[in-house]
Amino acid sequence: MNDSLMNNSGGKFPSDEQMDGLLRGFFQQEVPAALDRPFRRPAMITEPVSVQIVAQSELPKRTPRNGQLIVASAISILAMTLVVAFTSQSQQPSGGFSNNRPEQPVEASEQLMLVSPQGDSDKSNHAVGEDGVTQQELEIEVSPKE
Amino acid sequence: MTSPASGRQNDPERDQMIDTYYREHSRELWALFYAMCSDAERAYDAVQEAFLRYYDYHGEPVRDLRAWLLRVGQNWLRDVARKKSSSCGLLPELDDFAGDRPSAEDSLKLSERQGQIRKAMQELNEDDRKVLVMKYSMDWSAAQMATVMDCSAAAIDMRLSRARRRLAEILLEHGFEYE
Repeated sequence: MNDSLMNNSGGKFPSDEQMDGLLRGFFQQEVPAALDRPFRRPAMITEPVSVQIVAQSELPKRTPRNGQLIVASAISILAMTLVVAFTSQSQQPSGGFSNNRPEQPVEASEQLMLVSPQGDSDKSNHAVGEDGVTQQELEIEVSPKE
Repeated sequence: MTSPASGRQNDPERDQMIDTYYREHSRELWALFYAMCSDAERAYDAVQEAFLRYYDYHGEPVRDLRAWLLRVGQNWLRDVARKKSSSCGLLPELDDFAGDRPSAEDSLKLSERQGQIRKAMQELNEDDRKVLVMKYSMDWSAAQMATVMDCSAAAIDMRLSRARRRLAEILLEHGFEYE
């Protein structure tokens, strides 16, 4: 078989030593060098370290931002104080506003709420007591339906 | 090998066990995966995948870690072959070999020879390929291989001799020139 191969290919059948050397050289190149390195863990193993680094790197950024917030808050408080002061100056010494109309006496009919769902019937128009309850409302309360 | 109960991350004992096991067995696993796929980088990816899966594993304690890793790696290789995806390239820094780099011409020549031998290896049956890989990538003795392949050392010697001869025949058929 080897003879026929040699005849067909025109080559020389290699010795065991040749094949041995060939295969050793082949696998020396073929085996990844990375296999000799330690196992590479997923990134989550270093999570605590990275969290710490992020927290430290964010500290200087947060300080000016907090300062900006404080300044903005102070400005808005100052503005609100100015608005309150301005409005208080526009008020009259008595405490009312300058554009208030003078007080008018309230009529007696306005003081009592005599509006009834029954309209202008006698029972509903006349208040029985000072609290404005009409006779009809009083009757309803006195003799409720069973 | 019996592994400790798995399932917790950030467990220093477990991490150390994985590191030790990787250091001692990654090459063997690579060789077995390489014998299956004849692709060095893909076999390396299978090793990494198997260990990463074990690292994230939260199930029942693994009785035989070697068998577990082999099964995971084999399944991954099958999935990759089924999807016919291209080989996952290693990171550039992982491709670096120690020592001086050869010239471009030498690199090309070496690459061609490697390709020819790789192609010839693919034509061997898996058992023949397995004994060659174990012998030449890990320098294992016949007795060690016999344990893994569940046969006698004498049978391994015979298979090794036959595999080497068969590879030489294939290389000659392909017009390979020996130096």
